[in-house]
Amino acid sequence: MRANDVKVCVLRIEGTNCEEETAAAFYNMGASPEKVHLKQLIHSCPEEMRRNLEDYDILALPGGFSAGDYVRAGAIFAARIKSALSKQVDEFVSAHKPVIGICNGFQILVELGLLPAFEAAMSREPQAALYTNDSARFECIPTLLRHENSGNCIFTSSLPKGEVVMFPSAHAEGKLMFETHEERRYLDLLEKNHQVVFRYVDPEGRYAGYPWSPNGSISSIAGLCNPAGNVMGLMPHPERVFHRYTHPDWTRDSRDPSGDGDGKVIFQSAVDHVVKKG
Amino acid sequence: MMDEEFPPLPRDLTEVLTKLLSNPNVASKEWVVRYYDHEVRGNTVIKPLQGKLGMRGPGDATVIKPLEGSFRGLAIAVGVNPWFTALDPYKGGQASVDEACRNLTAVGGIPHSLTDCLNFGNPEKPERLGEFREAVKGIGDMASALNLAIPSGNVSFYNETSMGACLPTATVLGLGIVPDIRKCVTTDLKEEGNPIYVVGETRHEMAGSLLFREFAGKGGMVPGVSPEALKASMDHLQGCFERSLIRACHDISDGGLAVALAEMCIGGDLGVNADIVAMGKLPSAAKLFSESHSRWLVEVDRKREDEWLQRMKVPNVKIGLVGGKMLVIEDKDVLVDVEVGQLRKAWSEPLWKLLG
Repeated sequence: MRANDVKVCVLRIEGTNCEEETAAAFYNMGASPEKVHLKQLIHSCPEEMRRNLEDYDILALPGGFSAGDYVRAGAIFAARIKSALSKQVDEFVSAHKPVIGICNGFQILVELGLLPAFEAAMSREPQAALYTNDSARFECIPTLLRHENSGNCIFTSSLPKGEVVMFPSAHAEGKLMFETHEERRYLDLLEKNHQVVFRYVDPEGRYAGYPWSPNGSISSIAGLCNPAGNVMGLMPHPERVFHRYTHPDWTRDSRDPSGDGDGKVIFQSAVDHVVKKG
Repeated sequence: MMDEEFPPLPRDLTEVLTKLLSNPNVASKEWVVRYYDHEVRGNTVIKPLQGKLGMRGPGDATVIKPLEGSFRGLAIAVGVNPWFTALDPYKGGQASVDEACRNLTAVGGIPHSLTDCLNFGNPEKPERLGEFREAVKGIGDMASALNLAIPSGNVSFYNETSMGACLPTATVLGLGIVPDIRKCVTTDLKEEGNPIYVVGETRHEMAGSLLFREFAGKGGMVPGVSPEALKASMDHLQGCFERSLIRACHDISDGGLAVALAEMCIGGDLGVNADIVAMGKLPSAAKLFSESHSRWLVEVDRKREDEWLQRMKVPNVKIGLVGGKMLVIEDKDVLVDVEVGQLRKAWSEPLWKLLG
């Protein structure tokens, strides 16, 4: 399979606002992304616009304020997927196809039960929440992430463990939480299953408090994958740093501003994975 | 023009500088900047907060790169000075255009067009209408002289209560074309040993200045604008941006040269050793705090200083070198001597304290 043959479904509804740059990131990897409205997948649209999830190789849930973030961020988008597309999504994930949720997309994956998904590909109830930031504010700020995954996560397979990357954050609800009585057990499960992908760190590389962790997330967690490693969600935005010239400090050094940004590796890893698998 | 009454200042001008940095109109706007997603669509190339990661220094303009297949960018910046406008509405209108243009220039943009947002009191009162008329004339004359279109604008009158009218606030938003975003520059200082130049003429123009407002100075001259001088400086600077001779650039506005220099230190987390004797015979406090228009502070790549000097055929004077972690300014005597960390604290915290 060539990169060009890798079909990416960039799924949106009203209020999604990061579909352009998410599609552009896959496009710049040589893949074939398509911005698809949920109505196209549930066939609530003219026939020629209908699409089927199974025809795609990668599913991407971009950032934004889907359905105005009413109820909870991501809750309405997730409920609509769950009510009309549950079976297809379950099959997609069970077929070990890559699924990425960025920011609002991460919130949707958690609401859907695709993350952390301890028992099944898709849990019936959400097992975690992405709650209001400790600061009670929307935080648009550069964040540093340490890669913590031991190699099972498809989206970071080309990123060495321990590497620190800068992906910017922009969210009001990014604090990962579990039910209090399950906190310890779930954290242990995440470690045991190698599900922690990114943690917030400060410039000295220490696990970070505010504002380097913009939300107060448990165990400084910024991104998770499922036990199988094909579903990843993260609050910060790798698609916003595909190129060096959107890093906040690129004017400070002599590196080529049109060179690679820290976020490219995420899209590269996923497309490479699909290409290799054939 | 009223005769100038220069206010008595503390002996240590460091105290003056930190006070000006903490003025809410100068202090960091991080409180609001971080509250909005200024990076959505993934094409914000120059951000509103600049500098070393985590230092969050100020910016003059932001730049977006709207097209995937092109390195051309759009720079966006504003200019406004309600205090100048209150004292001299015509010059105030001109000042808004001048500031917007020098902000656009500071990132490497070429001013292209303007829009305005004009907030004034009750125009049924002759003096309010007069203020409005003169301010608009100032904006219009500048735009004509610089050949910039103003295709849109917005006017709000009756901003007035029994306590009086709002300050006449003639805000101009400028749009600039950046020929190649890879040559953009930010305000933060980059490298020890690089020389710093003031571009443009510093005059004794203290009326309406932040210094006079904070320390109760009276009268004086409202800064005047020469569109010809502005244009010449912008053209010369653009030539230097094009050749990547400039490592950092910041426009000089509220609080004058001292505030602008401190802000460059804050973002870069680097100090400066400055000697302003070469700026001529003005009193030291005027050199530091006058708000004369059409001026920039420029950090020049030291390896290419000769090329810079050959190209810059507009008034400019070298005032010092980047280095260390202290901002030291001398004019025969040491006027300012302060740690960059202390400047950052003075500048970064006020809005968080005021707004919670």
